Amino acid sequence: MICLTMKDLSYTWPGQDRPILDGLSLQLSQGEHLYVHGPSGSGKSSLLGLLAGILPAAPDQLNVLGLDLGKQSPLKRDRFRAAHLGVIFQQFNLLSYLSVLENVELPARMIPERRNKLDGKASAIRDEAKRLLSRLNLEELADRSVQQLSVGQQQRVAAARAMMGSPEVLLADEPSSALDEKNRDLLMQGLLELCKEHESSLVLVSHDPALAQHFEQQLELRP
Amino acid sequence: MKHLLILAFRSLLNRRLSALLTLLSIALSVALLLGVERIRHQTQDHFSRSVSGTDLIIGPRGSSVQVLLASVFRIGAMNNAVSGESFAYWSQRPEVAWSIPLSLGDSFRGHPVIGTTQAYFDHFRYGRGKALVIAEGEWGSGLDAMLIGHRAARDLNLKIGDQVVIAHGGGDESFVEHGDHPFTVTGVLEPTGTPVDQGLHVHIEAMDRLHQEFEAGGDISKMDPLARFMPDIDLDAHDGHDHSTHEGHDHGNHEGHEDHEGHEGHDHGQHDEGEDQKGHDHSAHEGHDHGNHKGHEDHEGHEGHDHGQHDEGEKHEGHDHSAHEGHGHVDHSHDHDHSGLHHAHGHDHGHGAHGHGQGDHGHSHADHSHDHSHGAEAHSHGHDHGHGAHGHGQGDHGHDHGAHDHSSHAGHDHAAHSGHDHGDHSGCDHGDHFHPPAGSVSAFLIGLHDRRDALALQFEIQRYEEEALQAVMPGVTLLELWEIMGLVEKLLFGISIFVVAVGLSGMALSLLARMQERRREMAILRAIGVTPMQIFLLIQLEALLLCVGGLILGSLGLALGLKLLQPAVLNWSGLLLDSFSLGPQEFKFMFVVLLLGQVISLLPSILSTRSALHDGLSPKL
Repeated sequence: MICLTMKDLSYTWPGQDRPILDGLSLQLSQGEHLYVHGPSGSGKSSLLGLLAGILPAAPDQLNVLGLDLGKQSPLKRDRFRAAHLGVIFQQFNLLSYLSVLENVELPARMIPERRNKLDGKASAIRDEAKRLLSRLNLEELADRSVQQLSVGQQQRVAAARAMMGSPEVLLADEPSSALDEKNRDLLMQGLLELCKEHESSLVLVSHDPALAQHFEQQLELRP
Repeated sequence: MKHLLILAFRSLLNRRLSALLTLLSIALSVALLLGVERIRHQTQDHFSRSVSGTDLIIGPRGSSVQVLLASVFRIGAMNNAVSGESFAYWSQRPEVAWSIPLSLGDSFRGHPVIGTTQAYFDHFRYGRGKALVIAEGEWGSGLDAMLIGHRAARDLNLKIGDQVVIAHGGGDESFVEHGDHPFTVTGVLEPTGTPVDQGLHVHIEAMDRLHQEFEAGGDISKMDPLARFMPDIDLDAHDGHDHSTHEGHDHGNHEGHEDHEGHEGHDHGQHDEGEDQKGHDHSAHEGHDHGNHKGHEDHEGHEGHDHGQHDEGEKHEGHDHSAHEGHGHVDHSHDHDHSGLHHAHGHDHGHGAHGHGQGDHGHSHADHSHDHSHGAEAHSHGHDHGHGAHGHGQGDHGHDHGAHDHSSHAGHDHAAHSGHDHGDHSGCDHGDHFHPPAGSVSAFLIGLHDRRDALALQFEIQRYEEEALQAVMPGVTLLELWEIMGLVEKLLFGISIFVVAVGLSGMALSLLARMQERRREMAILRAIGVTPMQIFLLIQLEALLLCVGGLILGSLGLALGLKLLQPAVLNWSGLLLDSFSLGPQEFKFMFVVLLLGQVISLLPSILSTRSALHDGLSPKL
């Protein structure tokens, strides 16, 4: 099954003449992971924006899970993201006013599509959140406030949240750039394990060549 | 939606300090809005339930609102009076079922003292036709009897049997007190929730006595050095009058005078029946028989006292005519018409006879030749003359009498008589308050057999030629009052709406100020799949929560505030504030506040949504 298809994908920011992404093409099978790298300003964030459906792609250039994102309305893309994508940022992934567990539960609580994957029951959502946290060795932190966590712990909580409701695609934007090596490995290990378990594809943007070994495909962006 | 609400709540909780401040500002503005509205309603309610069943209130011509406020609400003062004649005339009209005279203008420690009659308790109605009920005791018929309102009893800590000395004037500070005649509390009324609760009710005759004493009594002695030697001049002292010196004088008469003392409230107007006037001629005065004075007892009844009695010649002998002859009786032969006057005259002459030099008499009588008309004052006139006769200098007598032209009796204006204070006693003239002269009333309330006659009667009263009167329909004048107050109310309402708008703007401002620091939060939500519409709803929900919280807090605050302020407001304005309750009016206002809050929050909501859309997954911080 094809997870992701880019066909001559280009993107130009509104008001600019030069495209930031120009003629990207690749195909990723479901369960395969993609490593995206390149210097600053090469359009990594733009690519993630397109994949997440935040930025509008042109028709026929980007297909995710069989859906041509370029042909969808912004609302449809939001719904699509809500149902099928998990997102991890570089930092500050969590809502500071919710506990760790609540942060993990959030997607399933907010988004009906995710909730439906877990029978929609509150207890099922809680169980799944706890399970994900324990898979990342964070179960003791479940009731902590987010502010009490280290950055490494926060990133792993973000990973658990992104996996809530088993999204088919996980988008990660330099998730380990603020972490030390030990935390980076913990995070990567957890992410890869969860992806395997849920048969999810991971699209990861990073500067760290050491991570590249875990990925079936690589995409280098040039400015 | 439920989760959005939870999220909104958690988000607010997270920034509880700013949320609390916002909440407080909304609460305060809401409390103001609801409070103003509530007090406005209660004032109206209070006013309209204070009088019921009264068809017309009749008072001296002037502002109808003033008459209503003074007669029913005890607010402000009347600076004029209605003569006894007018009161009698209109009260006896066939259309009139009952009438209640009111004598106002005095107070006891800030509580109004109302001179009235039993009719007040028989006919006055408040609320939905409720009558006044005496909780304990009774009014009694004694001149010192005082029936007090519920709150007056409570505030002044008065109980049956307590004595009350009335201040002269309406304020808290009493500059003159009538220590001579304390009233005794004989009864307490049931609470009514109207100004009646504040009042101290005394017999109108007692009120008149009070004032007459004030004018003709003790104070004179303070101001007139000669008077000190003449204790007799005090009305009360009349019985103590040493008649033994009055050889020819028939003491029996004096007993009659004693009755007379009780008669100060005595309405001379009623006595003013023309025939009597004529009958009373001073030429006949020589034949004046003090025995007649017993006839004065009739005065108690106030009914058309027949001065003709004075003319009965048989008993004249007892009177010391010799003394009288020395006086300027010639003058007296002018008109001494007026009933009340007659009475007084009788007095004077008696006094004059009591050993004053004829010269004095002559003098005073010369004055007399002026106008001895007028009911009430006439009465005091009599006294004056008496005093003069008793040895006051001519100067004393010189006062008003000069102005009185006896020949002009008929057209005499009673109002002018208030100036009758002995000229010397200018100090007696308490310019800052007014109470009706003895025998007249401040205003009177009437009930009709048929309400439909009210308009016609009102019209007639307004055109009454004998005296400048006005008749006020309570309901109509209340409406006038609301019209006057309407402007103030609208202003207050406008101000409170503005304050609410300011409070809500403060909320919008705090939401806007937070927008920048919440861009990350929005990006996270967007990443999870929250749609822009949901972001918009989230901000609106936060505003809604703040408004609802503000409404609850404001209502609770208002309820508490009203409870705490209730005694003070009651004391200050006589307005009994109901405790706070939620009615359709309150819900309407709350709804408006919520709606306004949502409208004002549109700005931060739309801006947040736009910035979230623009930021996408990577807010530029």
